[in-house]
Amino acid sequence: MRLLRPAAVVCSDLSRGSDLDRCSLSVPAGGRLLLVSDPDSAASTLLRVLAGLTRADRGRIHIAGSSDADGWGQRVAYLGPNPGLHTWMTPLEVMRLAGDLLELPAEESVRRSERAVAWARIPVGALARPMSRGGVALQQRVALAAALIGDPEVVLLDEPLRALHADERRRLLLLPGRRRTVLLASRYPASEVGLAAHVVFLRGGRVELIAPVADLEAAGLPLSHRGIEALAATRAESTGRTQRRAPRPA
Amino acid sequence: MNQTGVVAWLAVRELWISFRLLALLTAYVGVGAVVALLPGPGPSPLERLAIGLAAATIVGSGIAAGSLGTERALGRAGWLVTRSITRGTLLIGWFIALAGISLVGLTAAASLGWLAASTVAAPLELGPFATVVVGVAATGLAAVAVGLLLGSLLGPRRAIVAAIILGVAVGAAAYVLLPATIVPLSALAELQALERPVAAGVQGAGVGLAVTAVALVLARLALGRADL
Repeated sequence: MRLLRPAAVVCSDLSRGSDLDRCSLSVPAGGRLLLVSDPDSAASTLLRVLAGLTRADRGRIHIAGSSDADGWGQRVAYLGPNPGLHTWMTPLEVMRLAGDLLELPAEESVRRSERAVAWARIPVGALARPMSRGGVALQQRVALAAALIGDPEVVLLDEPLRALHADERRRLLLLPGRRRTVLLASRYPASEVGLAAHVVFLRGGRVELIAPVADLEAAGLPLSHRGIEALAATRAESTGRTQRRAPRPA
Repeated sequence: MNQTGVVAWLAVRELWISFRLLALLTAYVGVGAVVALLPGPGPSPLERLAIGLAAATIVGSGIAAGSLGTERALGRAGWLVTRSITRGTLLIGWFIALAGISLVGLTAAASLGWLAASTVAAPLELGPFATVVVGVAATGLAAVAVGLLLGSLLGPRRAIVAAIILGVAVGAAAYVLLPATIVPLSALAELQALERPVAAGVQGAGVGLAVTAVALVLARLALGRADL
């Protein structure tokens, strides 16, 4: 028996500049999606709109049971290519600040910080030093740890952790939690093997393909931009053929 | 500490680390120090104080514009917004930080200026002087608010240039076209010639606060549409 899961992210008719054109997408809770787009910036724009960093020209968004971006901080986390942290802060200060902003009780904040810091493998020696001394890789680890401190239901990852080694990056992006919904925008899908169950392809500002990653393998296509495009073309062709065969109403 | 306080405290620390706090304080305090320590021929101490404070006000506007533009460009504003901080809170936090520093600097500059003017000219009454300085403070707040508006609209460098050009243009136009009674910096320069200095100070403060409010509302609207 297959149980229907509630949607964690629903967006309909989203438009933003030339990147999104009446884009609609529904992601079930616990879904892990790889977003690939043509042009590359469209997937990033979609995540930024979902995170409330970029305002859509039109359309509706519903995330984690709320349609008000101001309330998403508790349940939605965004991690972009740029950590966006004050590099003069120490990792400990960032974690404390993240806990304070989420209004977590002090003990709970410390407990979650320790867990997130351990998960992100932030070196103990670097915890009390300004992040500027640790480089971009440390900042990206801290940004991930700070994003996870709120135990978000939805995690939006836009080209994250590119400064880390590929294996370590993959380990970190396999976020724990079966009910956690993850949307990962990537310009290099081949580097995201094993991180997502489904792939979404955006073209012309709209969703052209949603398919299980396994379908690529079944079609003998690689998890790459070209492979995803080829699968989208195959699906579009077969859909067109089906429509041509369908009898026309009298 | 509430969220506005957290943003304001972060803003003060960022300004301190980046030396912008020092630059803003120096701009104000330096004016008072120059007026007090280097009395020379030419304009009276109050005129020199007014010219210096006008320059410091423009510096404040430029720093405000560059600060918010930088926060947006480096994604730091976005980091806060994705953690339950509203865009309005972000704006108000930065305004409080910059306004607070400006007011501290202005207080020091005005104190030094008052001492200098009192020793050179006829004894200067504290009440009218303080009232006009309150008007100048309101002008400083308006400049910060306009700077934040520009920082909400433009990238850091363009915002700084726009704030300086706008500050110089508006300042010059106000000096030439408007009566001293509603331009606090003009009122300060002509304080000893004014018939009703207290009224001029109060009027100037009212105008300054009104401009501050309008600029903050516009900045909030602009930041609401801006990419963070």
